[in-house]
Amino acid sequence: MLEVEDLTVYYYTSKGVVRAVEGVSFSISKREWITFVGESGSGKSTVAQAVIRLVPYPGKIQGGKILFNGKNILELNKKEMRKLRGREISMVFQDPMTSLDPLRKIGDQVVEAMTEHGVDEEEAKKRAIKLLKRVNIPEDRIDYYPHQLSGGQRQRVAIAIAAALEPSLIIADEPTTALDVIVQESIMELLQELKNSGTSIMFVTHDISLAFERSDRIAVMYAGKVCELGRSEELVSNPIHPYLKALLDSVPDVHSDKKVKAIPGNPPDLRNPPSGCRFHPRCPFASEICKKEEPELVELEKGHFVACHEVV
Amino acid sequence: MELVQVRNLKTYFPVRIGIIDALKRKKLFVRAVDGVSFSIKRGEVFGLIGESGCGKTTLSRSVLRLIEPTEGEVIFNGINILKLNDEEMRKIRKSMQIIFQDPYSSLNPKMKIGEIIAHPLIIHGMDKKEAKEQVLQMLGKVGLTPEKEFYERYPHQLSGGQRQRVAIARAMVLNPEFVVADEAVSMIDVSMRASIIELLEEFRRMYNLSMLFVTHDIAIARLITNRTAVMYLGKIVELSETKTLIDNPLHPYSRALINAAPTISRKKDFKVKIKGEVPNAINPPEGCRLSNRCPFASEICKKEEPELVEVEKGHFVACHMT
Amino acid sequence: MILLSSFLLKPINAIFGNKKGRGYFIAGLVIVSIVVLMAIFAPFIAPYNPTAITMDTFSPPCWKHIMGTNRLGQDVFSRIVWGSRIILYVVLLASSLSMVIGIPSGLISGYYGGKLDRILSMVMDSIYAFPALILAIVIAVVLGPSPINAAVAIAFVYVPTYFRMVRGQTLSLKSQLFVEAAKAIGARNREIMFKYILPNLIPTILVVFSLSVADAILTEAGLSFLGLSVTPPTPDWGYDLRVGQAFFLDGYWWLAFFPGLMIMLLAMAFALIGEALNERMTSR
Repeated sequence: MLEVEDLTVYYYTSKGVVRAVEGVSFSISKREWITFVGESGSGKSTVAQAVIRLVPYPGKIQGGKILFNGKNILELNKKEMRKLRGREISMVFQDPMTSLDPLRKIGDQVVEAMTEHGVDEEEAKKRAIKLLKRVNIPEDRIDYYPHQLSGGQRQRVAIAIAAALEPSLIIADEPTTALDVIVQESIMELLQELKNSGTSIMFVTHDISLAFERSDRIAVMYAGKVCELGRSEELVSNPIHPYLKALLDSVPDVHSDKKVKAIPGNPPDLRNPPSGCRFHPRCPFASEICKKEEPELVELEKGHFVACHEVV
Repeated sequence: MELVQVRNLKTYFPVRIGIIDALKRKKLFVRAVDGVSFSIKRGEVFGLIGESGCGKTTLSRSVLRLIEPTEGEVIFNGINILKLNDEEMRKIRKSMQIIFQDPYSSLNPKMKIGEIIAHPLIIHGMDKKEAKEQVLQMLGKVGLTPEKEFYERYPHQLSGGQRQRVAIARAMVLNPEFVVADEAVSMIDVSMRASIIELLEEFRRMYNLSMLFVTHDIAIARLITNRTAVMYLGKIVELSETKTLIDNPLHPYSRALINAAPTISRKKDFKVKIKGEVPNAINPPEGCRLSNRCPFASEICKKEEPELVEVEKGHFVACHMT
Repeated sequence: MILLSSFLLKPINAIFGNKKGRGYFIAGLVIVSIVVLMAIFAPFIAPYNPTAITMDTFSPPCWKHIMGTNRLGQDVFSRIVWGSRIILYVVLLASSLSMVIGIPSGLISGYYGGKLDRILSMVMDSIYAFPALILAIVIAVVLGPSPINAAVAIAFVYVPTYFRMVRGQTLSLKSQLFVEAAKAIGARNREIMFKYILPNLIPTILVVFSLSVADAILTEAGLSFLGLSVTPPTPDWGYDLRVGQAFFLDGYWWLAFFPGLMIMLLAMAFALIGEALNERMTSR
């Protein structure tokens, strides 16, 4: 359904060009949940924003193709893009206050999300009530303003708006990072329900455990590139890329007594990324070739892609 | 040997109210911490977990008297610190320190790293030259090398992880017996967290330090704490050895909390569920505070407040149903 | 010269880069520096004794007297040069005085809060409510005319400006974690105020300083215009402006024009610096 080829996004800051995302390719099929995992600065959010062409200034999509049902999104004009957003692809942000209007009632905002795309007012109102009910916002809250709701409820409203027109893809960029675990769980469940009813989910998080629980596939990003991509159980039980291995070793788990190990060094400065494999300065297995040549993302087993010289 | 004993501690904050309520002399309080008791042994890491708004941060500040508690006792080394005057309190702070969550606002932007870490020493009477020696040593211990270079830098020149190391150095340089770590790793990037935790663990081992480790992340609590208390709306609802608590949580709230924590080590059952969200602490529900959200609540839960009772050795629960 | 200017530009570039406000800042700085240099080197710059009475009265600007002479035959340019000393002296003394009172009281009021804060705020607000010039005139009249009294009068008027700014900022800084951290290491309140809060106020204080100096220049000129600052024959811009304006309609325009121009330029220069710093700080 969605195919991204060779996506490259740079940020033109006053302190130099940040090569935030470089040569990222992946696809999402119908009714699939794919999660992008990475640390801050890995480019995971930028990929998500690029798919809906909302990369913030001074970022620019430098190259690549984003094919949505065969059409290249990057070639659409503004009007076509507006039509696509919300109707075909919609987005949920980390902070729901960035997308909700603080001065308007939540019910009206859900209604507007539909009327803007040509649904008539009466119909939209009926559907808004249903939608809010579906995301567990009681009917009497429909006239509330965003600030009267808790963080979790606001995020539910944001999801209701995103789901209003039954888009084929919902992009969720760290929607639960600011929330507590119990609320997080309920938001995840909501997304799962949307997925079960036919929507594809592109989820972005820094928490690999969270990614593992609900997603079909996981893409692990490091320094602007996808280093490993595959089915989520496969990735967690059989990690191949040294970065993913190190990442899994560095996070504690509630139900295991394993000791954690930090990854030595720091993520690179993407204004001037390391030559060859971007992980090589921190990689315990790096050899000469890693410093010189960039590894390509290769399919090792069916559906399991890795970008590493040492394992190919 | 108990180093810190907290007895029936309460911290209430007055709520700003309208003029009419003020005339009626109605006073409202946020009961952020409402009758909490626990103790921490020497060399023990005591965890405090709960969602935002449960009072864990207020509790951590009240124990150090950075917020003035309303009622109760905090006994440190046999002394009730809530009875001390300003000067005595200032002196005892040498032995009880805190590491904050946000390494960006916890360091004075106008002071050099060296000065930040040296200041506690100077306050407690060390001369500048000796303090500098100690600070350089400390910088080495927290892994900020080359020491001399970091000494001269300003906070904004450091990454989040490095700043948190500075905050740890500032707390540890006084050689305290007790340290509160308030979400000390939650703002640090995942791959760096482990190294900060390792550092804290190292200090604990070396100096037989006691710690109050406040976190919302149960996985981290499992990693570093010996015992853990679960807080809900200003009260401790369950307290036990951390491993027991996670493997066999008894209180419905702890069960929901632990169940909701994402994990990769097993497929979870999504069964124990708590409805809704944490209500505010101005008007907590009567009886058991979880009664309006608890799937197991019965009549008694709505009327009587359950007490924290020992159900097996060292495992305390406050629930009528267990 | 080029070396000197590049030496001066370096810190300016460090603060402003190529950002907005840099031009304002440099323009303001150039004017202020000229006036300061004029004050310091007055004996070498002024071609004549500023108080010497000569027969050459009411000479219009010419090569001998580039700004002309006044009714007593004194060289206007020389009086401008020497007059910069008085105005800078009064204004800087006044501003330092208001800072010395306004900053600590603002810090204490904001930091401790409570009753003291309420009383101080009320007093300061009531001073602030008066029009600055009128209040300064009243005080200067009560104290009697002299430069020091003028400075005290002006200082009094600007104390609330510093107080309000410092108090407000202290209130917000007080809730910052590093202040709590200072308490936790056992710092005394005095140390927290002066070592942790005050250094973070300096950028704002600089802005308020430049803007209030700009304002104080006009107030000083106003006071000496009314004869409440220096006594003749001491050269002073405000005084010369007053005396000069009486002859304006007789066609002796230069008597009032040059002192007036200087007052305006100097006030504007400080205002430019203040605005530029303000711009820089808010855009960060």
